[in-house]
Amino acid sequence: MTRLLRFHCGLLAALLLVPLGCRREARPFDPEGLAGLKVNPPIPKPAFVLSTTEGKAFDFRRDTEGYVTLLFVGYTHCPDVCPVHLANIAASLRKLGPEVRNRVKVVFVTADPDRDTAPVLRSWLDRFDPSFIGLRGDVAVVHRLLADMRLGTPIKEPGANDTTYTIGHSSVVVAFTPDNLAHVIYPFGIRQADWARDLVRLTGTRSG
Amino acid sequence: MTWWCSATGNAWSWTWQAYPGVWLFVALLGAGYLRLCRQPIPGPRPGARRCLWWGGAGLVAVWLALDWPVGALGAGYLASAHTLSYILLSLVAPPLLLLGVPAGRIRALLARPAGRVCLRFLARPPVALCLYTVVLLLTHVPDVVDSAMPSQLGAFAVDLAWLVAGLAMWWPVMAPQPDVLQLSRPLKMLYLFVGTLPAIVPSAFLTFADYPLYAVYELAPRVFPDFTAQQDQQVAGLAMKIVGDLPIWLAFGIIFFRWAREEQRQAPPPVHPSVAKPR
Repeated sequence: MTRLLRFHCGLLAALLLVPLGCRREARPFDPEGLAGLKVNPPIPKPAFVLSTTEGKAFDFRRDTEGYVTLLFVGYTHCPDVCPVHLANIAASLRKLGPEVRNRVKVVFVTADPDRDTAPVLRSWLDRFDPSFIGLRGDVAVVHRLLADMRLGTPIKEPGANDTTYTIGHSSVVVAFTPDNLAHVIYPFGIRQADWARDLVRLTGTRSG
Repeated sequence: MTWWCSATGNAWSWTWQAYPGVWLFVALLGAGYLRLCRQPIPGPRPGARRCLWWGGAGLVAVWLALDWPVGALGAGYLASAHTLSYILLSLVAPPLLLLGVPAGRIRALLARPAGRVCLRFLARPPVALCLYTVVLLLTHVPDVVDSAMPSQLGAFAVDLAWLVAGLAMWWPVMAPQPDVLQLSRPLKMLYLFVGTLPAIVPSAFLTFADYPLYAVYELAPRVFPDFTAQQDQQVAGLAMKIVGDLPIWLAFGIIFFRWAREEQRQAPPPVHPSVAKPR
């Protein structure tokens, strides 16, 4: 009798916990306590297709589905923000275990496709991490993408000659979680230790 | 106009930049030193030329540490250059500057009550070491570096603190005896050995930290694209201990060999067996 009662209590407890567990799975990502800036309402993952450095079409929504995706728009001749951001992300990813690394995709979209040819972009990204995805294509697509995310439009600033111009662009890295929303963005100034801590949280892994 | 090297956040350029504040500082230091060497002083005044040579070398070390490119790189781009500045200001320039100060000038300073109290107080090894250690540790705390280096005044304060702490650290060893204190040669060597220990703390943190410690260098535009912030910090940590200890061990060696030579000179000549008295 006691054994039967215990069985029924256990069954009841299990039945009560299943919906709780399901609700926990469905609970939206909570960006509280992250080093990045909270975005409210979250930015939906944009849909666009650009070319990879290997010349293949990259459907951003489809090809990053299920991953934590760090999207950054910059250019390889950037003297300050772009290389520092990418170097810090790469350094923190190197320190984290494969359980985190394998759940993160870093996508760099060039705002300067004229100078950033596929080989230039590839060799530049390889300096940070060969797994970083480099995308290039029509500037109009890039501008629309930034406008959709309310990140402004890159501005070409003339240099000493036609090839030494700089591009003023947003210094924000947008972090999309597997729910295809960006709850948090990372302005310039985020440090390697912050990236490491946040990537563990964003991927939902317990340890790095 | 930028007067003193500080962290600007701009991309590094190998184009020379003027820092008039550095020149003014070195010029004032040089003028003071020259006055020290030339001013008539009571008693014998040996080594006016020595004063100029050593003092000149010390001033060159100060200037190299503060001016472009080492000073500028150290203020806002590379932790390794920051460490080089520290080594030059705390461990290279002070012994050179002190070597050149004529003993008579120090005697003259000791004749004044305030000078006597100050110089004798600083000549106490625990006092000098404490001052040096506190400055060394404090100026390498990440929050201190990150808040000081972006401002010209903050960067100047750090540089000045390093120079003053270095002068204090070297004073018990370089002060002419017996005017200031009677520290025997073995005690000087012991003091120098203890002087190598404080740097172990920041050096270990810099070398073995998992992540870059200083935001100012981590977020600075890279000077060399393939030289990461972490590698730069590790070079800084290793340089602090290995390169930074060199002047101290050099002084240690000089004192040791002088001591050994003096001991040899004072020892009675060995008795030749042929002249030894038969028992």
